Amino acid sequence: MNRAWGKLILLASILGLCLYSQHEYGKRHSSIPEIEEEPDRFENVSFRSEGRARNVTVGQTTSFALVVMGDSIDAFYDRTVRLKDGDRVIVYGILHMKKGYLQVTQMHIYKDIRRLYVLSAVGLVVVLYLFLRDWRVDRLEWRRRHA
Amino acid sequence: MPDWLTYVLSAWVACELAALVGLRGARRYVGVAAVGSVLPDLVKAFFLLKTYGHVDLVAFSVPLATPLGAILVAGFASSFFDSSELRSVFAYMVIGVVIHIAWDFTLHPYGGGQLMLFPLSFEQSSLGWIWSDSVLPLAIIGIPAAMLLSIRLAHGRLPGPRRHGHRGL
Repeated sequence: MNRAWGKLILLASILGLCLYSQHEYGKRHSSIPEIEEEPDRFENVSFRSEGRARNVTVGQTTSFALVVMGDSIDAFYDRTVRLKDGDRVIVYGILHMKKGYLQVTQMHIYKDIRRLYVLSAVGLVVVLYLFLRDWRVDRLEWRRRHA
Repeated sequence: MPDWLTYVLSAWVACELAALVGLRGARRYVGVAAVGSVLPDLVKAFFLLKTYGHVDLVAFSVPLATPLGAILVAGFASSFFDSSELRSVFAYMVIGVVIHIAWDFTLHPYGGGQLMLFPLSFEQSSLGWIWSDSVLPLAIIGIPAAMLLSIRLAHGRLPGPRRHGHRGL
């Protein structure tokens, strides 16, 4: 009974933190649709995000659409960079939402994001091996295999 | 974030080192520490939900990757273990969580930064040493991991009774 209460208290605490974050974090960090809805509020505001570059055009300047979790914003960088369509990037810049774009001031292009995914997949296999080697489920509880 | 192999190897190295300095049972919980080391990345599931399911719970999920939130999640996950193991499981899972957050804290700040003091503060901070796509963390942890693996393999070649004697460390 005590354990059930313990679980309930922990779950309530986690949910409480998440709800608090939903309320407060949302005030401090806006998604791209929220930014686009209020262009006046987001004029000359600093912006930082990570996503994929699409529709890349590289000339004297670099322009692309920054796609962040399915949402997109036009971005311009006044430098020539080796950016390819589909590259994963971290950008830092200033929003000019009255004109509807992000002026990039700093940018990092991930060299090979697939390597990160492959190594993470290997990591997942190792986690599963290390954990399931020692533990098994018995009556909805994790118990040691060789107790 | 560094790759998951870095986190898991780090958890393994921590448990091996703990066993080497005489902390009894550290090796028995390496799997739990490994799970703890990837636990804060539960938040990534919400990123996927936003990207592919168009359900935006990113702000809701942020605490799962903070020190306090991740420790609470570790506590909740530990509560599903055999009651005789609960305290040790929680302790080793927290070690994994701390390893994860420590690695993330080394990353470059304009990729985000850690909400170290959440919920007291929403200020994000990081050391800014490493880009998240760098293999440097894996290289750094790979060296002690290789050394410890060599030690273990050397122990594995010892005669049976002595090897048995070392198993409990």
